Amino acid sequence: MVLNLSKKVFSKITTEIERGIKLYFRNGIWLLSDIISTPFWVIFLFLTIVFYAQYLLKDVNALTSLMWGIFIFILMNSFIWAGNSIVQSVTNGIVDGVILTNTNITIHLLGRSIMSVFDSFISGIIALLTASYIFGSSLLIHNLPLFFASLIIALIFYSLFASVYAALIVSLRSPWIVSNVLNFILPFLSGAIPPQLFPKSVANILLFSPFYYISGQIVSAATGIYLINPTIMLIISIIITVVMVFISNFISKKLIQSMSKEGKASLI
Amino acid sequence: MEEIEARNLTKTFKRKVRVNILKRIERRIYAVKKVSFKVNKGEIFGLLGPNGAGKTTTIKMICTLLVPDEGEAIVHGFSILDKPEKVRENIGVVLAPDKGFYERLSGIENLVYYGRLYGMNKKEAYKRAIELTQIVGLDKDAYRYVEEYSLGMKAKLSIAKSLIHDPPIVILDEPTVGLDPISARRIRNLILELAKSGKTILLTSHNMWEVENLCNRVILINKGEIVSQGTPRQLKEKLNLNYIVEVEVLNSEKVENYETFINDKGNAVIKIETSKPNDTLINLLDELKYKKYEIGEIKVIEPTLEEVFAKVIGDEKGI
Amino acid sequence: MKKEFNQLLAILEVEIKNLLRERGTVGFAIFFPILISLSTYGVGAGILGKAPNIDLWFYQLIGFTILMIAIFMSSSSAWYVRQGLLSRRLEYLFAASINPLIIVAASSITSGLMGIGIFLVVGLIGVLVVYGISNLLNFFLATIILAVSLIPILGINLIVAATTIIGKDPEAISQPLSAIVSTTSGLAYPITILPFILQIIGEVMPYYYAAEYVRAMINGYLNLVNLESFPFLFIYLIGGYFIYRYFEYNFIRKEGNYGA
Repeated sequence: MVLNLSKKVFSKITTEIERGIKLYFRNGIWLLSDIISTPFWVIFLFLTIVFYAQYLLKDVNALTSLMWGIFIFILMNSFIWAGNSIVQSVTNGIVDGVILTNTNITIHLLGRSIMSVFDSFISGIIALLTASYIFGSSLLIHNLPLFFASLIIALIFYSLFASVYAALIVSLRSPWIVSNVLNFILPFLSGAIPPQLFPKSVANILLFSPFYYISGQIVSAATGIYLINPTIMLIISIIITVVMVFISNFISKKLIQSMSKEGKASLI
Repeated sequence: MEEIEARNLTKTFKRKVRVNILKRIERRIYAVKKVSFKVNKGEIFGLLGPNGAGKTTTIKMICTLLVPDEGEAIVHGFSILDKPEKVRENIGVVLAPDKGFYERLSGIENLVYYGRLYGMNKKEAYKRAIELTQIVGLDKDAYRYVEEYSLGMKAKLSIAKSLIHDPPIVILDEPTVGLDPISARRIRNLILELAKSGKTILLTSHNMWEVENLCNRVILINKGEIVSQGTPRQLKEKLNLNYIVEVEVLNSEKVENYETFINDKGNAVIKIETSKPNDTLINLLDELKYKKYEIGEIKVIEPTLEEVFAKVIGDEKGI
Repeated sequence: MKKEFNQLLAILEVEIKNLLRERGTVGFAIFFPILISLSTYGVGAGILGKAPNIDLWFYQLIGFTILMIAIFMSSSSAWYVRQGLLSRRLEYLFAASINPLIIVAASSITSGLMGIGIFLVVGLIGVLVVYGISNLLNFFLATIILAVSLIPILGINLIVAATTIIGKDPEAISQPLSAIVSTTSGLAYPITILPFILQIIGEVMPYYYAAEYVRAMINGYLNLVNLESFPFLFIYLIGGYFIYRYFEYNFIRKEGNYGA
């Protein structure tokens, strides 16, 4: 019976992923828009961040860290908007349809998350190439296995995070405002601004942010600059992701309960 | 055997009401109040009522999208409160005919998507999707993106979606709203065919003619409460609505003691409003025969459900 | 002319009412430049190990505010056309005896007014923090300069609106414009630190001038020589008008592309 259930869940997951892939490649205008916009955003973010300390434009290590910081910024940005997309799913009546098939909302959001994976991948590569070409950042990855491991952990974590975030904002009148603000706050909490540029006492604040262990680990693996021992960081990131599995499952159930009680999607 | 049994379904919603410029208080407002009915297997059962009467809320409770504050419903032998997953497996639902689809997927792809979420494998879902698009008459349009669909095509696709997992019960909320007459007729025929194939249909509408022609039994809801129920004929009888008896009298422009009008053939037509059409007609024909009048066309016009609706709802509104 | 003016006023009134009910949007537009400029200031302080010059914060505050206005205007033009087509509101308006340009102009003027409102609030905070009340008069004159600078930007919005007719997805259309404007217009940093080609892009777009004129006016060193290239920017308004009319005629009226 357990085997049958997991087969059913697996089938639903593949259905949602397939749907996400189809939709992503059918929105050609978004793809084009990303390809045009990303190099400009990269230049803008680089220069805005170093505005107060323009001497950093000559520091390859700082520029390389910043490049990976922008890479994780793109990754998080994409998943935040994946969470934001639930509002559209609710208005379009898709969430009702999905609930009627006995499918978990987190599984449904996977379809949108897979679009985020593609989005992050394409925009991420453009960002890396732009930063390397314009600013001379290094594209060498210091610890390749750890980099890929942390990337996979981050993708799983942010897919789950998107579903939790979606449940929290779905009842808001202007959820895009929260998404936009979070879009800038989260990278700060994630080590997107290279912590080694700050005094140690300031940099250590990041150790209290769970997002740092997920996103900062990607930057550390790529640059070889660690705030804490990489093994400990990896273990903590896995624990945080497992905790997120439970949180997203709990929140998703709560959301459906609330929808069926009040007739509208709302948790807050 | 009952496929759906609603027992005292009650639902309230929170609404903010302004008391004065500064203060707004939260009140609970009844959307549905103690609604009970039974739907038999293979029956087409209608929920009739004006906008905001509580039809959609009732349907949403039955299909487990809303939890009732009080009451209970048993669907295909399963409680909506204790076994909502089982209920969902046994119902197909159309809530808003134009919603619930991915615009950049084709009709077929949308159906396959939902079929697979219902647990079918890709091959099965695809086969069933093709079968259903032919049944609902989407044919080649099924391969176009939904963003290119008209409302009628979306309504057909919605019905196909509700049938993708071949449920024994189909719940349709205003399935023909906004459709052109040809598309609406096609959907109605489809509903009749579904009932013939043994499926139980629960539908809401405020199209009286549609309900009268489709439904075996009807409940009339207003302000969240049932105001009348029965077969369309029973509803009319309960309200003692008048039939109209019309008898054409040939070669005559007037008939003594009766109110008449002249029809397009230039003959007098006697028109009588009565609650007992059979007795009235027999007596009238006897009298006309006795007076040597030549009788032409005879018509007995039944009151429509629309009149029932107008009387029940209108009385409540003081119209 | 009186009829057209009344039509413009009627649409403006509805659009402004509609906008004022979106309190979240207005609040965000005011909050965002402050949040971002303070964040970058904080990062700067962290990196330098001391508080940077407050003038630099003000430089970015003005830049981010103009960026916000630019994004808001281009995005709302695109959404106006898209939602108007989807809800069939534009169809009704086109069927009425009204010049379509009045409709688009009214929408752009609304977002422009909103932009000036945002600037008044955010800029006033910035001026009071950095200069106290001494530069207040300059600030109010700068607001007028900004209002004039927004006129050529209306032309760009007309191009965005036109592109949305065929591109359909408003955000996908306005996003590249926002990216290009943010990067090349000297809003968050001087354009002199950009590669040459990007400097050229910045200098041919009206946003750069809006930011430069406003900063110069507040600091009291704006003169007519600075303004010599400004009249040329009105080419955008004329160009935007013709491009919009071309798209509207060929893709809406001729192709009947209302809605989908």
